[in-house]
Amino acid sequence: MSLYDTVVIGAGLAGLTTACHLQNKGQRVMLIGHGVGALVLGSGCIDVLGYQPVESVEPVRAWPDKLSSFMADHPQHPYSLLGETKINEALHAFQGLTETEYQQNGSENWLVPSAVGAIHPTCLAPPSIAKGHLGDTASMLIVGFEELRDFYPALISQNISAQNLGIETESLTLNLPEPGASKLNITPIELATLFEQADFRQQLVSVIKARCQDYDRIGFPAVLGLGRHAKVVVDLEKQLGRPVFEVGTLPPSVPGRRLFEALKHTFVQAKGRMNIGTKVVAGEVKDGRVTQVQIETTNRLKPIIAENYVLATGGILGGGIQTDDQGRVWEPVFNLPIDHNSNRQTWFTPKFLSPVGQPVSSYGVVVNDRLNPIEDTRPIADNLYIVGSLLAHADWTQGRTGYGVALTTAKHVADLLG
Amino acid sequence: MQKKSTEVLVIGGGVTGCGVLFDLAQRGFKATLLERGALSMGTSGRFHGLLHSGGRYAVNDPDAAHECIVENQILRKVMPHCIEDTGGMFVSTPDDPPEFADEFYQACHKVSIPATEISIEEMLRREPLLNPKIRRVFTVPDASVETWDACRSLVVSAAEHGAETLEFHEVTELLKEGNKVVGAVAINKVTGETVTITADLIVSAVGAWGGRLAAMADCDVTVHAGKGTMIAMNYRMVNTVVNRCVHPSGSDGDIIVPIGTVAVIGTTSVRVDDPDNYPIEEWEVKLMMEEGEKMVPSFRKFRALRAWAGVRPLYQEKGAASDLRAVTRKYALLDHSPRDGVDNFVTITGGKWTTYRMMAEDTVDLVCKKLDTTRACRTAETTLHNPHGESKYHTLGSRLQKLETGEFDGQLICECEIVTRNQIEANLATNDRHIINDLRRDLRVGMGPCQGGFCTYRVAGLMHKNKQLTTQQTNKALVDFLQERWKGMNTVLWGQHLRQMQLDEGIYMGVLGLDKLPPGLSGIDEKRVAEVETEGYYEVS
Amino acid sequence: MTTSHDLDEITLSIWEQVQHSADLCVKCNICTSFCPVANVTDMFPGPKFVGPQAQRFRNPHEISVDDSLDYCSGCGVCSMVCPHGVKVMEMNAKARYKLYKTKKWIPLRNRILGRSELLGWLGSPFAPIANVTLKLKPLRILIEGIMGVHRDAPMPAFSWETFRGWYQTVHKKSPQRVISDKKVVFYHACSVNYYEAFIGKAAIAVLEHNGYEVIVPKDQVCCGLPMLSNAEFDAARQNARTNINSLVRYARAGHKIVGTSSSCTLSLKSDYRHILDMDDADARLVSQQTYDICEFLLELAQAGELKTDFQPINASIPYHSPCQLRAHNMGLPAIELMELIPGIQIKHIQADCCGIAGTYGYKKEKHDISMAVGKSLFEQVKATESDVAICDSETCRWQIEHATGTKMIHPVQLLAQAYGLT
Repeated sequence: MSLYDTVVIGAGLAGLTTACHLQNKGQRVMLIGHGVGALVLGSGCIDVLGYQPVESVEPVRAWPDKLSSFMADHPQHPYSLLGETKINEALHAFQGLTETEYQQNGSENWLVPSAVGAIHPTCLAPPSIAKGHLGDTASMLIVGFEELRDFYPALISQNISAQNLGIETESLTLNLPEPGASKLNITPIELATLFEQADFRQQLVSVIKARCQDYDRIGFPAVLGLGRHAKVVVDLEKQLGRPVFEVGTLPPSVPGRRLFEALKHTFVQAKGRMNIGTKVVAGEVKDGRVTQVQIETTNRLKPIIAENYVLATGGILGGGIQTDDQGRVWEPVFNLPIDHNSNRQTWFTPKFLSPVGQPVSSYGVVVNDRLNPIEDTRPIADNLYIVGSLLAHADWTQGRTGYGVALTTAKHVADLLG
Repeated sequence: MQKKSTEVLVIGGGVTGCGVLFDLAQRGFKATLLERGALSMGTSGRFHGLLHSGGRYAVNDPDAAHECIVENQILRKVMPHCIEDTGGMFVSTPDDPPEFADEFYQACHKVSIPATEISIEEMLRREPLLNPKIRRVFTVPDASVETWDACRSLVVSAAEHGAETLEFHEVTELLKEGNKVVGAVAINKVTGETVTITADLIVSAVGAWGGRLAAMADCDVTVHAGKGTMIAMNYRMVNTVVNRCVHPSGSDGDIIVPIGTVAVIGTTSVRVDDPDNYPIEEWEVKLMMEEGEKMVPSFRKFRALRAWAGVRPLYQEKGAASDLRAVTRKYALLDHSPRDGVDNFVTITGGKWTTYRMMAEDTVDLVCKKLDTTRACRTAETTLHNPHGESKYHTLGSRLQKLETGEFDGQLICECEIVTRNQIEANLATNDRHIINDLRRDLRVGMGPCQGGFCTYRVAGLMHKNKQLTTQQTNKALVDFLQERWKGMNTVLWGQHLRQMQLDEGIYMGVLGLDKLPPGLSGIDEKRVAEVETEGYYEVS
Repeated sequence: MTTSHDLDEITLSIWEQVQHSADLCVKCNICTSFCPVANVTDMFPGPKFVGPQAQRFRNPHEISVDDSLDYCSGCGVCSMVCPHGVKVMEMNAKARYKLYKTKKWIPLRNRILGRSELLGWLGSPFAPIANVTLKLKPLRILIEGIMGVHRDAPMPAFSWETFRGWYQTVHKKSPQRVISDKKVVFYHACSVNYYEAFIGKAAIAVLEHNGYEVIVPKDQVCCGLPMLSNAEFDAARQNARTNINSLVRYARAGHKIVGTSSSCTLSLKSDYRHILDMDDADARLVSQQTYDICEFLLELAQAGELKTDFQPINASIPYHSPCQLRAHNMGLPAIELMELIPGIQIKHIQADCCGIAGTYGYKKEKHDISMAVGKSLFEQVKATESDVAICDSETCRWQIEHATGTKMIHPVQLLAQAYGLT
């Protein structure tokens, strides 16, 4: 008796989204993740195309206008494989997927400030982040806290000012009220739970209120609540009498965590099965079909059997691609072919912040238009699908397309299987 | 232009120069030290951190071995806070000539190195990850030494006797009057100012750069640069120094030194022409990993954190030796008056970190002779200034303990290496530069597994706030430090460390978008990248 | 699969020891952000901090210096959420052992809490008296003062008759007992033996209903986990060895070992090998043959061998998957199994930990932390307004029942009911 229709391997954005779509369509889905995916490390915004040409430092405003030139420059990128319509469908489907609201700025990117005050162009953002849009010249006060080592408001506001965007920007660094003040190494997540307490907010508001009168909107580190985020923002806006927005912090990211929890909630509510903390160590392919994968439970390997298998294990960061000192590069579950150069010196550029990307970051699994992995042009297994950053030619640093790829490929697989 | 005068001018802020400065100051000389970068930034800061027992030289260079064991015991008394008493082992693996073991043991005893043979079981009890196929093991009093702390303690102790230390001052000219060297002109790399310092005597302690400096005084000195490449492994898979029991000539990658939170494997030995420019080559990395496996079979399973190279100064009086390891590690003290007919100029070069004090004593003895005075050396009996208080050996757990007991208080900024905001702010207050790398050298910021992934942004934020820097200055400090970290990482990026790099990339590019700040604001441009490619002064411009 | 370097088995097993997994940590702080304890108290700096990070400063040749790791509850959420395979909780358990070794002193309270079996053995014969006495507030305040066991910590009721006593004297002689070629070994653990014999009886009923003869080895003892989590490794190893010796005979014969206590089966599966370093052939065999009871039954279902003559239960029941069960890394077999019952709606509570973490929540200084950790779980259970809720682990059941007043049952009790066996 096979308990599942589809096994999804990987708990990042691509895996979770695929799992949610399929479960919503009535499938019985098992999602297996070796730990929590990289969602909680990211910004929590959905970047679709931020820079084109990719090495430019000028952010893309209307991303649909630049998509065709991006595809022309990157004919092997997953976008080029699936096309603009699929991207739009994926964005639309994502917006209805969870209880967490994501907003689109028409066909334009949101241009939101980062934690150094750089412009972060992004397609879908939670309203709390979108309200920091730098295309809007409303003045802003960035508020931060001495106790939070992951956010420096003066650096943010001065870097915004230095970019001459016509936005009056100032910063304010406060001490947290108790019980925050005694927490020396408070994490963004801990602070977010404090923000859910009304009396804590009340104490903060009493300090900020008098000092924010000259500003049109107030920026906070992205710690405005976890599960009760929407209520926290509404309350702060009401009390401060002006829009409140969030600016990302160093990871772990609260907006990323909110998205993770929202997707998990959607999936579990729909009776999806989830196993976090377990590694899928091997997969068996017979006659062009995957017959099972094996998970490593704490004491033995256990087969998991389904009709279809979706591999969403990520790129190098996620562990979907492994490398070693001998210059070997491999995909650890199915040993899928990864086109690579085994001379490690070709993997990198001399620059860390490389405008052209580190070549190693483009390594991945080559697929057909059904996202089945292929060898030469032949599918290796026609019930195996690859989504997200495990795909070849999908280095997210190039154009900032990572989450766009995750959503688009997830939607495509859901359409094929659902 | 600023003018200064001093009695003795020491050029070079490695451990030898710092040692000479302290010895001079303690013997009552007015002394000044010039260093072109930060203290211990050259060869002294680019070694594996071994305080030799002398075992390594016992067979083929007994004199050097004897010097080592004598100095080893002195340094344990005078700078215990810089030393971790790891102890050492010489292990004879199946790849090593078995007959060498007995020869080694006898040679050690001839020069009073207390080598003791222990059983393989005992070895594995102490160090479970060592190769169980090792055939023989001898323990020796090796240790590891923190060079940044040692150099800092030497100049602070020297300052207590009135000596002055000028970092980031590069000598551009030696002033001569007739056949006498009478001073030096240096440029302050931070401010761009020129400083002229006159002195009665000048000591060159610039190691592998000795030939270049001597040439400024029209002396012909040949110092070869012998590149040695090392790799810091992220995990201390051994807590004892482990040496292969082999003839040191013709052997690379034969030592693992646990130092601080890492284990360093070294080294190669390659002659290079330019002591400022010596890339790490792929074969060197490969060799280290392969040799490491012979001592610790699971060696390659651990993460390689960084690779770096230093240049040993190898003085050669006449005729080039073909093999660098065959050159004695004994040092050379040159009085250029009889040698080259140039007065008031002395060069000290060669030698090893472990024997720096003895070299300094000899050098200052010569200075006394040349300045016609007799003053006794007391450095073997004087415990150095210790910023941490108590005089006891440094232990691996000490930082963690200080945090637990509240001695380190305040926010943790560099979590990997346990560096607090209070430490950073105190350091920023006494430093007129804005270089994150200074904090690394002084406090170990950014030296852990994430290689600055989390703390660089935090430190930049604190610098911006505390030093009231412009955003341009802050962004540049941030970008430069990340690039400095990258430079040591990218030769050893694979496996888990490559995942780490991608996380760091995710933070600085994905979350912060640092790379997309306008270039005028971020300081990222091709010229600066070219600068960071060559070691030296990229930190200040 | 490609492996980068082939090491012999011994070398590999030494390298695989949990402390070396610190090398894999990329400092991402995912573990800290998910840690149930660090998020409610300042006493605990978080799993990354006391785990892989502090590990870099631990030299086995030096004494232990970091007391703060004592506030780790051992729930293991950190190890589960880590995407890099760092064995954070296990690393902490080992470091805590060394911490107490350095102190050369383990509080009497911890020693007693570590001996659940001794407590049960002492309490069971006097069950009616003991059960009443332990509910007396003045006595509990006294116990708190003398021993440091929190006055409000949940105390299970002793069984008058031990499970093993029932099995030996009643069940073994019963004509209804199933004798079969299909045999399974039942590891009952302390909770079933001394407090909740009815769960053991339900388990036997369900297993026998599916045609299995159930063996209950006489020489099994407490798994040792309470001692382990109170840093008494030597005592824990003694118990572990007794159990391994007892169970390995059956494992060699190919029999599977099942248990209803998810933390005790986790000890057999993993802790003996990875925390107590008893990684020998016998320990591995016992580990490989050990099953959580729902895991065992679900595998039967997958093979089409589980009887599905369930009577419908038309109810929506909340279920909490305890940390120690999730740490088996096998998914949540209880949910899938219970959902085979017609009419049932299992409401999976989204909470990481109830806070009790074995003996952690019993300690005076940790009780409030424990209740704060479980707060969200308790609220969710209460919000369901169900008069019964399900959880696989005994101390979690006691904690939730104590905090919410909701009657707590083990999944196997629900199955027994659906089979009409109660």
